[in-house]
Amino acid sequence: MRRSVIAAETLKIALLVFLGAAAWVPVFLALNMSFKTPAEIMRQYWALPAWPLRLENYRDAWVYTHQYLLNSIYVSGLSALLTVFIGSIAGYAFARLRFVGKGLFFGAVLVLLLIPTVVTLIPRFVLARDLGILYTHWGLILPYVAAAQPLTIFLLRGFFAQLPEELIEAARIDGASEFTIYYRIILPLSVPIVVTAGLLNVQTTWNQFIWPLIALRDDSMRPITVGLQVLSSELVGDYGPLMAAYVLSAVPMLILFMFTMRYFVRGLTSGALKQ
Amino acid sequence: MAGLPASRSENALVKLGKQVRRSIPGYTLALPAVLAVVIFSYYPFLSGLLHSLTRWNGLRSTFIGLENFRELMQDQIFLTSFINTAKLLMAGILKTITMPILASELVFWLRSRRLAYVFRLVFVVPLVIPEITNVLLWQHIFSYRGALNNFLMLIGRPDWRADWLGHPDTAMLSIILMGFPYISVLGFLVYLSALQGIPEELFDAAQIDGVNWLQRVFRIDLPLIRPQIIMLSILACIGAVETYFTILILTDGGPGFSTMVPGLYLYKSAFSHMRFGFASAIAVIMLLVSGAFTLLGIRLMKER
Repeated sequence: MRRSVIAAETLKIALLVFLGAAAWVPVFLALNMSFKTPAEIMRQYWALPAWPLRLENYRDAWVYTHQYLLNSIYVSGLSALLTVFIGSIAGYAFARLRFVGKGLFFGAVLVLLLIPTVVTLIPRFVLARDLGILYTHWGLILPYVAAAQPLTIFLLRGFFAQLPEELIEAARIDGASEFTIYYRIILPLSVPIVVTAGLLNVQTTWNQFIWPLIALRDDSMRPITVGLQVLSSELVGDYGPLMAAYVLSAVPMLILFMFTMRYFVRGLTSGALKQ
Repeated sequence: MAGLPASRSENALVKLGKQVRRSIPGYTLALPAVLAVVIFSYYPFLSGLLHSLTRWNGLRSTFIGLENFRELMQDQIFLTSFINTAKLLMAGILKTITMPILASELVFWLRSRRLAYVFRLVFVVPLVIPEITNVLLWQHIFSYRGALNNFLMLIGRPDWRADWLGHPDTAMLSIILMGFPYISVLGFLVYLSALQGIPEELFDAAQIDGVNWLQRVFRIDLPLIRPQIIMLSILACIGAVETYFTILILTDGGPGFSTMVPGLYLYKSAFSHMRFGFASAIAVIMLLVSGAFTLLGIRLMKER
């Protein structure tokens, strides 16, 4: 009995080690090549990098990608802040306030969860052009904020609806405005869910590729996703700096993830389950 | 006599006025979000539906009825793209219902809590890698000087080397096989949290009844995570219909049209050939297909 338990546990660990290693193979390859010279990559593909490591690859990659990374941080950061702000005030209105046509508006926002973004791609392009935001960062941010509203409002409204009514009632009797109640009472009690919604949003916008590919023209404005694709066609065969650039593309999210993993994980599961 | 109905309607008016006045804070707070979705979701959606019936170059449009749809039905490229979607869809379902379940089962049934935590990290941290980076890495793996061919050299099979993405016989298969071992972060997390949500007593009872691990997996674990399996499968179907950036990067639909998918065809029709109306018709068909999957999903989830 005891031995079979140990055997089973060993087998599980062995399988997991295999699966885990396999999942990380592309990352190992990228890391390995990012420290090698072109000759090393050519002749000894599987060997570990020779000492001293070729750190020039990272210097070059940084020169190529830092503007793209900054653009992504700016666009994703601002989008997340705006999304969470207008999504949370709307979430508060839908959760706690009475107004004529509330159910209708809420339903109209939620039903958008079912509409794929590819369907609105072309008219959105024409609209952005007509609004004069095409080829600007606002042309990314505003559609991102709008696209994120259904899920953000859904998540936040659900949380706000569970908060005790007495708190809000007490503030109303004291003559607080609805915005003050939202800002002073609701928001401080909802920090975790708001952070979760924000992170979920950062992750979604960070990965956007098609829209920035068509909605931007100027190379200096591109986010990292489009930037990497451009680099991969410009640096064909020059794997060292290219792989270093791929590694750098994951660093901002890695840093964010290290501090907020709990929220990330919850956001992913709750976000998906409710779609 | 005439005063009574008048005062009643006056009352109703006052009441309505009161209601509207009380509604002001609600409207004010909901307005930015509602405005945003009306402008950037509803308007483009309706515009797309209407323009699918037109010839449109982004500036001027002419109504041509169902002509775009008629053309699509006879378009060989479009039909090919649907067959490719069907292949991707089946592969997507298969990937969703195997490897993430295997990984989450293994982590869930690990005795060592510390190792379970470590492996959870191993499967979740890839979340930080942008999807594009992942696709570009696989592009390298399949490229002529890439990892797969180097591996074939390593095992003494240099004659098996190929330009995997550049050949019509292997391009589609390479795209389908991309992403080994297919443990998506989302799938892994959803299955794992579903397993963790199963009441402990069930497992205890099963153990007392002398149920072996195989019976437990098929009689307890899998039936109880069925809603999650259905949901993730439906998401995989919708993803297979809608996702085309992968193919745009890896093969651009080629060689020839051997890896074309509807989304990419839409993209090319619009932004390479300026056929916005024709592309909108493709969008409408894609909406119908993914809508059908969504409805199927909702139906299956309700059934339990």
